Amino acid sequence: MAVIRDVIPVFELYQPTTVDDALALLERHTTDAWVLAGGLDSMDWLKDRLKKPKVVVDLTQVKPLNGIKEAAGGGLEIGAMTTLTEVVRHPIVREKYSLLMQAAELVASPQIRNQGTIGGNVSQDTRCWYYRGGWTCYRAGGNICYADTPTAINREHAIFDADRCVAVNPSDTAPALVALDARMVIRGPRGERVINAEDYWIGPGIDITRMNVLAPNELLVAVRIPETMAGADFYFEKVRDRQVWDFPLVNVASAIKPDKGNGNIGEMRLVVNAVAATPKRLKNVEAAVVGKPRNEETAKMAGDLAVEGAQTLRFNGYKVPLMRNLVKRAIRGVPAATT
Amino acid sequence: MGVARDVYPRDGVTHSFVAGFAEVEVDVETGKYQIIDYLAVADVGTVIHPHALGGQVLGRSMLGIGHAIGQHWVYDQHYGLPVAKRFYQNKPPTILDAPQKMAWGALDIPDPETPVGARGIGEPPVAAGCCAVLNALADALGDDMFKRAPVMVGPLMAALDAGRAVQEPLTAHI
Repeated sequence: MAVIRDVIPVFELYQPTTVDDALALLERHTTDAWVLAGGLDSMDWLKDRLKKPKVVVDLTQVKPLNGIKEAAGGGLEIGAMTTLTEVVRHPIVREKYSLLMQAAELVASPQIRNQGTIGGNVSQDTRCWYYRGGWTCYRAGGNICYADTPTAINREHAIFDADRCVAVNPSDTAPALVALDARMVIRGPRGERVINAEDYWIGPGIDITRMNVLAPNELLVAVRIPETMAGADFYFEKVRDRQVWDFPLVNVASAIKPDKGNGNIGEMRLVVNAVAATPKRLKNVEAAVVGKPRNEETAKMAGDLAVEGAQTLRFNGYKVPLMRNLVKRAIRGVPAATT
Repeated sequence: MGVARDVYPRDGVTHSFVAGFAEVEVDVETGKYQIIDYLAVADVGTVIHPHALGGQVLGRSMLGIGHAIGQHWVYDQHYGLPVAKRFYQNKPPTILDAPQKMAWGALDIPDPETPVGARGIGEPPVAAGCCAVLNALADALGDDMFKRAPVMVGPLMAALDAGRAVQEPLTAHI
């Protein structure tokens, strides 16, 4: 089978300048339309000719989607088209929400962060190499998961919540946003709705063809970060094969507010990504560590609890100890001393 | 003092040699590692152009280091089709994967077999770079912690957790 690469199929390009115009285009073309933000996810699909939308709606001219502003009730509102570089450099992000700064700074490479947007980073499709390679799997509308067979090569795949599909969410900023208790602002034909970040992503059990709740006629317009976790003790770590320009094998984001009295863990939000189709908030671990000191004993208990119920495939068993150790580090706040 | 002399035939065929030395630091909680120091010494006859030779020795060492740390093809074993087709999947080394310190040297001993005493350089450092890193990893972790290159986070993390290699020997590129 001849594969023509790097020749993008013909489409009609629309460059609306307002959110309303963009939404009208999506309403008119529905599933024929493709939303283009930074293009880092889109261009692979288009160049491989695996997605052939009739219409591409480019959001780069919609200026209101760009930029970071302080919200009226405290916190920040980050426009969906804000680049990751802008997020990393923003003084308030660095001062109060450095968790997001760390996460965004670990995405891909500097060039990609200059082009990639926060909205695109959280909404990107999975990087399962069978699915991205054009194999007609469940997620692509077929009736098999090629990554979950006895001979499949599945080192990057899920250890939790698999449901026919074993692909994972590859975003670095997503777990940071869940840990910061962010809200996603979505605009559609019926107006605006605001949902909790942790409800933004959906697993294959709910819809196997989508990674998030966005309907074809909806847009993610902004991410709101409340004051809830501002200035908390943050920990973010991403483990990847290369030192730069790589997706996470597992990443962890945590925000801890110390108890004012004894300095123990007062309040915690702990999230791990790249282990399931959605960022995985570990509520059971959060509940178990509250009130405990940030020491090795608590870390060990949290790590063991975090990976309970993990189900591995042939090549991704390492994700269990990796996730366990990253959770331990998040509790400790530092890597273990080694010789 | 005894003197040893090689018995290679004087037939105009020359061989180049490179010795590589690497120091690695492994994060035993994640399986990530960094090459913190690397030295390659070339025995390639007379040095004609030191700058170009240094570029060859370290540049080709980097190719070998890429083979040791992550660069790979991936084929589905049942369907025989490649699944890693883009650079982010093949993982050639980035500039940040290069050793933090890199140095090279050359013996500069003229080779009587060639007109100007120089020998070829290009591919010889590849194996030096690759094997120096693999040996450094084996030295840091123990002999039975990996069974094949590239040594990537996954198999290393699994081995660190189990205390022994849990990797299958080379059957397919993954």
